[in-house]
Amino acid sequence: MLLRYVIRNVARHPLRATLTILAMSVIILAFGLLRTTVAAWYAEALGSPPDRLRTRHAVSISFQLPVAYRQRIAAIPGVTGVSYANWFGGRWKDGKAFFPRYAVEPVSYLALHPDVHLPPSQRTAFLRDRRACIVGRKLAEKLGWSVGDVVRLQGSLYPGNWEFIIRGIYTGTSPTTDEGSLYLHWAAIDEPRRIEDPARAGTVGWFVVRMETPEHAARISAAIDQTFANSTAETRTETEQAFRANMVAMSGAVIRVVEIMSVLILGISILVIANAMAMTVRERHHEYGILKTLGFRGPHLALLIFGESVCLSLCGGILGVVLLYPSSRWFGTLLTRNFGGFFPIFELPAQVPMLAVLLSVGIGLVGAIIPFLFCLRCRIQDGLRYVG
Amino acid sequence: MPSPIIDLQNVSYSYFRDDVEIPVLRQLSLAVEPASFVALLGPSGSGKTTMLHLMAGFDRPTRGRVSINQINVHRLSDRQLAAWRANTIGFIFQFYNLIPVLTAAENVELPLLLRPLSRVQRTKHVTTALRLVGLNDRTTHYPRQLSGGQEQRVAIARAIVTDPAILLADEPTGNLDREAAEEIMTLLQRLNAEHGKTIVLVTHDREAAQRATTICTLHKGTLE
Repeated sequence: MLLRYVIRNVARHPLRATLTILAMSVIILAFGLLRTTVAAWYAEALGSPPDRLRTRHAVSISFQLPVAYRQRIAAIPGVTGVSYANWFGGRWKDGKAFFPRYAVEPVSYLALHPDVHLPPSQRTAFLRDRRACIVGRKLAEKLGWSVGDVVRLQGSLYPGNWEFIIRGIYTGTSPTTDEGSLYLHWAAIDEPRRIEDPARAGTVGWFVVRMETPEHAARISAAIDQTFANSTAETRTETEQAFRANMVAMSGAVIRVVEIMSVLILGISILVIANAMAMTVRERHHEYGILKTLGFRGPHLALLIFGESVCLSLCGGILGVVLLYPSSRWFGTLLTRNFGGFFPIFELPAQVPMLAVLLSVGIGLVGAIIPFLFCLRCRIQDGLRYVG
Repeated sequence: MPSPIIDLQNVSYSYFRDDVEIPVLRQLSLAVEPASFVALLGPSGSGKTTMLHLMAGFDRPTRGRVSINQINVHRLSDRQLAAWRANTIGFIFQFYNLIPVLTAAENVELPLLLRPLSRVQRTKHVTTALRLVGLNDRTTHYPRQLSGGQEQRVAIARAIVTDPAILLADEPTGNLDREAAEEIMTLLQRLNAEHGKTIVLVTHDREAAQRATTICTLHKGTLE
């Protein structure tokens, strides 16, 4: 019967209950979206296949490695494939629409990235033409590109005006595959460099190494780095997951801010619930006095107050989670459209709704602590005298 | 002669306001025998309600001893007091003090939730109590759907549902019209005469006090 009492208490002040529930749902919705944003930031890194390594310059990714390293890396036992890539950089139109642009050795790169799917005819067309490029499905949709269109880029790392013909639009076979990038031929940009800047020609940003089995990652990484130890361009090899995670960590401050914001809004939600419960407890001061007169003690009053608080908070939390599904889809579309380079994948992680519901319960419990202590401290005669 | 069920010996009670001691009860002694019906009569501010609160253990006397059923109430801890109160005392208020979101039956059931009873047993007790006050046809009504007299009868049913030895009634007819007040007083008389309940009635209504077997008059914190 006490539960019935709790539920009726929740509905006792419909306007306040509705507003509190709505406030909670908005907070939980915001929390869910922020957590999804953080998860999306890491999604690509976590989704990388475990059998791939990345080898880059030991000092920094911004330093280049000789392309000739490829043969020596390929000769290391356990390595089943090597490709290489480089940032192309550059600017498209006014530079407002940012998307990653990579110069790759296409044959080996596509072989090592089976999750990048191209129809056979487009694949052949891309491999055959050095002026060709391929773009991800999402990027093509966002910028209205189709096969045959010409992409004009203004070079930065590779100076000059560049034109590439879209020969294919790739799709990801895995949900974590980035569909927001552009790939072009490394040879196409290295060739002019040999004439214009021979000292920097024949270099790459990183090598992609496929292993026979992921268990050998540590041994092969060490072997690669050992091979180039004491050379002019020492290497640092790590799994692709670790490499991408490091890239993400470079934006650590932004993620940190998002994480802090998600914690702050939880604090706000506690205040919202505590405020609603403080008003409720004060209004029912007289009623709690009556219950104490009847012999009700702390645990019973706790059940009533914490129960009502958790009910309010949980209703808001569940509503927030229900709204989170369509909102995250809409928010994801918005983010990938405008910041596709940072959020190639934006999907609501399965654990976020569960976490949101659990947090709602926690918020309800924490929010009721002070109102409950206030109720507990009040003397019976003060409660009976209270007229609201 | 049976030992008193309520025994107040040299009880004084005062409170402080801005460091000034304001005495409410002064060296007051009262012995109430089991199954008696005592009316505490007196003007406003004479200390009637304070005396009732001391008997119910809501407060502790500044000096003196309050003994109910041979138990020194003022020596019990808050936890013990709550349990003792739930078993020994039934309290009837002037303004009924029913919980507005609970039906008549649910209001009466409240004190039974503190006892190890099944739902069926609780329902049986509630039905008996509501029948005793003549409201067994109003079980599903909410307080707002009842008249003042009916609300007070529900409050009396709630006070007696645990079968306490003592009923403490604080101005139970103070908020009722004459007819409803008569009904309530008749009901209290019946509970005293037929069910052996010890009743302490606080009132400033002389007519209501006449229904009691003993009338004590309080004046400025002392019994006359």
